Amino acid sequence: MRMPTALELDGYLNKNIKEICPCELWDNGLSHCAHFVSHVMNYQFGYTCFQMSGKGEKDKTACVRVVEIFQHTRRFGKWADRPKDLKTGLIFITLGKLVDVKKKTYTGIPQNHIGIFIGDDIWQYRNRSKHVVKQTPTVFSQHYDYTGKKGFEIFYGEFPL
Amino acid sequence: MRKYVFRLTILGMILLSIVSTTFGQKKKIQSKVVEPTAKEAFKQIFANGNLQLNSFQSCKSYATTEQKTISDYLANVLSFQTEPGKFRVDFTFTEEKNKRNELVWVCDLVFRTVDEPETSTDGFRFKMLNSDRKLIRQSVMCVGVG
Repeated sequence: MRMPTALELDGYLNKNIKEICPCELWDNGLSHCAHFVSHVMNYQFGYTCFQMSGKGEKDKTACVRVVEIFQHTRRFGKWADRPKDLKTGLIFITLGKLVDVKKKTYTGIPQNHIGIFIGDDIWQYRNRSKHVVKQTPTVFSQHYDYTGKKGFEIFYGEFPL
Repeated sequence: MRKYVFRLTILGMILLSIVSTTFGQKKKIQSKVVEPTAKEAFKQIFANGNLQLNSFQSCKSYATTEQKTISDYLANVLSFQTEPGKFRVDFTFTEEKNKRNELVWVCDLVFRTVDEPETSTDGFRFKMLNSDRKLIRQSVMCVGVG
């Protein structure tokens, strides 16, 4: 299992997906949050950028869906209930009412987002900025505030094996 | 005998002409390139709504206990359109040839939110033969990103 370091993740700051994805899935109109996480973590399961673009090399491909990474996480729960031993992992945001933590399921909606955390630092691909940013959990939890919708919550997920 | 041969020749020519006209027209119809319309493509999706998401590798992650078929997934995606926002539906069609050198249309249906990159996109890709205009079941893919 890969464990990224803060130094390594800082190396992605301000990078556009064009500098991250060798499979040329560079459409700025798409959400690249899961795509970024998967390239960093080398997640090649599910639907990938290589399948989508048909370019680059298959062994450098990366999953492009939040839901598929979510399904591969081990421990999962509300951010506030994050186990103390979990210092590094994945962070998700979506409408809380659609998530069933016990059954580990959620109903897919267009607003769902993912990043990587180490302690209280979060690295995520902010699509509106078109590059990777570093944030606090509080700022991450406000990711969809601009939509005017209420009820978004943040969740942790242990890295898949 | 000569008369008989002559009659046969005439009959043969008539038959040949009928056969040639019939098959010739069919060939013309098959070779006519007609891009699908969005309406035509939607009808194919509705007609195949009972296909199980679990049957397609790229759709498996969308399958849940409440969402099992293409119709269920489509209903979920369309239900987002009732929320305020600037949703858009794109249908694009690209030509390609299959192994038999027949013209195939690659149909891409994408649901997205305009000027809203923080939301995921949903959609389907499927193929249909130019000649029979029917969705090829094995070709169905879910192409959602994000």
